[in-house]
Formats: sequence, C-alpha cells, structure tokens
Amino acid sequence: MAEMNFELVRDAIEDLLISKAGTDFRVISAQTRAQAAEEVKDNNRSVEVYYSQGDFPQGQGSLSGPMTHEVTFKIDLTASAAAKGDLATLENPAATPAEIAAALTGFKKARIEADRSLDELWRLVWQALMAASSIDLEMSRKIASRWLTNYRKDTPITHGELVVLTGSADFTCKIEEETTGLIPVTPDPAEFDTELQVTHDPDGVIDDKGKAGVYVENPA
Amino acid sequence: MTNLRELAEMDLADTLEDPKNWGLPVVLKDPDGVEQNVNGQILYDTIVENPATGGEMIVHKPVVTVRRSSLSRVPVPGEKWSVQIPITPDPEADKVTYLLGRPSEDGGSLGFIRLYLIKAEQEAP
Repeated sequence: MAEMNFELVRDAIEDLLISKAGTDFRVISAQTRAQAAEEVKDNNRSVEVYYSQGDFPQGQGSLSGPMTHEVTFKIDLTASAAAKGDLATLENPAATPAEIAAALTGFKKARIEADRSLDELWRLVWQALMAASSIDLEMSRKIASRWLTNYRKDTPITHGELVVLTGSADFTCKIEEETTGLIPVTPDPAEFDTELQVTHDPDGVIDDKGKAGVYVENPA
Repeated sequence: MTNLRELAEMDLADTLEDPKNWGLPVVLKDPDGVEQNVNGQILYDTIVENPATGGEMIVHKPVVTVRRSSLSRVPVPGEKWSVQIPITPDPEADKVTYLLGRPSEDGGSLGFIRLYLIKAEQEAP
C-alpha cells in the first residue's frame, strides 16, 4: 500500500535533521525506550521524531479526497552532562589547598552544563527545520504552514553520576492525503475507440445503420 | 555505661571503616582545599526503575557512606567538595575524582553520612 503523505513528511524531517546533525547530535526514528545517560552525553545528544497527532478537519477536503491533514510531529530532545572544571588541579597531589579551593569554586554544575547543551541542541534543530531552504523539507511535494513551536524543557534528573535533561517541541504542518482504501484498487486505463467510421455511398445515400461516425462530404 | 546508640556508632568502625570488611579508602577535599583521608563503604552501582518501561536497570551511581565522627568537617548541602574513590572496589586501584552532588543525613541517627557523587570532567581549554 502506498504510504500516506504524513509518513513521507516524517521521513523527510528525519532525513533533513540527519543531514544537518553532523557530530552534534543523533537522530532517532521513533519514540523509543528511555536512553541511558551515557548514551546522550555531550555531543552524543539525541533527537527523536515521531508522528504525534493528526487532525482531519471535516470541512476541508472532498468526500473522496484529497483531504487536509493537520499533522503534529513530536520532536524530543535529550542531553546529559557531567560537571566540568579544572579536574587536573583536583587530582594533582602537589596542589595547594588554595589551588584546590579555587578549582572547586570554578567547577560548573552538571545541571547547568546539561541545560546549556540542550539549549544548543534546540537551536540546531530549530535552525535546521525553520531555515528558508527547508520550507518544503527538501521534498518535492507541497507542505503548508510548516511551523516548529511549543518547546518545553523538562526538569533535570540525576541519572547515576550524570544529569539528564529532556525537552520537546511540536512540528506542525498541513498536507494533503488521498484515500486509496485499505487495499488500493487501481482501475485499468480507459480505452477510447477513436476509430472514425465513415461510410460513403457513391449513390449519395448515407449508410447510417447504427454506426457512430461523422459524415464527410466527398469533395470529389 | 555505654548505651546501645553509642555501641551502634562504635560498630561503624567495623562495618564501615574496617578494610577487612567493607572499608575502602576515600579522600575528601573540602571547599577550603583541605584533604581528609577516611575509610568508607562504597556502593558503585544502583538498581533503578526505568520510568519508561517499568523494568529494572543498573546505573553507575557511586554512593559513599562514611562515619560522621571520623570527619573533621562534615559536608553540608550547597558546598562544593570533591571525593576520590578507587575506580574498582580494591584499595590499591587507581583513584577517580568525583564531585559531591549532595550529602545526605539520612543516616544521622546511627552516625553515618551518605555522599552522592556526580561525574567530574576536565573542561576543554
């Protein structure tokens, strides 16, 4: 069965993000299990894309299609981080108490590191999907009212020795869907009989016995 | 005469600190940079419930339990401390440095304190 357009759009969002991700984050194709904190640390952050909601306004579209599909894809972002600072001084046996105290003071909390990391990830995703060049998600088909909004950041959780932070946003757009049926039936191509039947009687009597055709006056 | 509570606290010398039992070397560095060497019990991994699946999973989450009366300064919430522990449960193993995420007084009635550690990394220059 042919895929519906929302599935193609979902794949296009993934492909677009994968092409822009580089080494900054990973793209996961579906709503998956919870990920281990180590899996999403630093530049190993993850972005999950999945179809979340679909509305078919009854007044938009015809009975047999095409129909307007107002689609919402959920974009889930996950990052984790450790506390970062001058670890070398803490581990140096020759460090003085003052140096150790300064190193401890300068450490950035894991919670703040994770927060900044997720903010950066959101920037990368938003810029990738809302760039003017991504207006059609690099697909050939038309996508209307593309919008990335409703970003929410969750509460940081301590997952083992790391701090994990998650957030999510909604990618909404309007597309057209065709009704193909559960098992699509494709009719044979129509054949038109284009043969022109012209019968001319040399005596000037038209032979029109039930035959369709066009009478052509013999110019001779 | 020693009461039961005091006896229980004295037992920590065996249950928490004795290297022949569970005791492992722990190095604490307080916010002033002063070092304390004590022995304590270290739990390296913890079983937690995966909120997404409901299944159990093991996470690396070192928790150090030390005897309160062995500390010259006791960590309080909000202070920045570092904690060095052996990387494996072997007194001779290499040490790894953590930051103190939070101290917990939930063992206060028996005279011990739990230290929850978080990973520390060298910041890129």
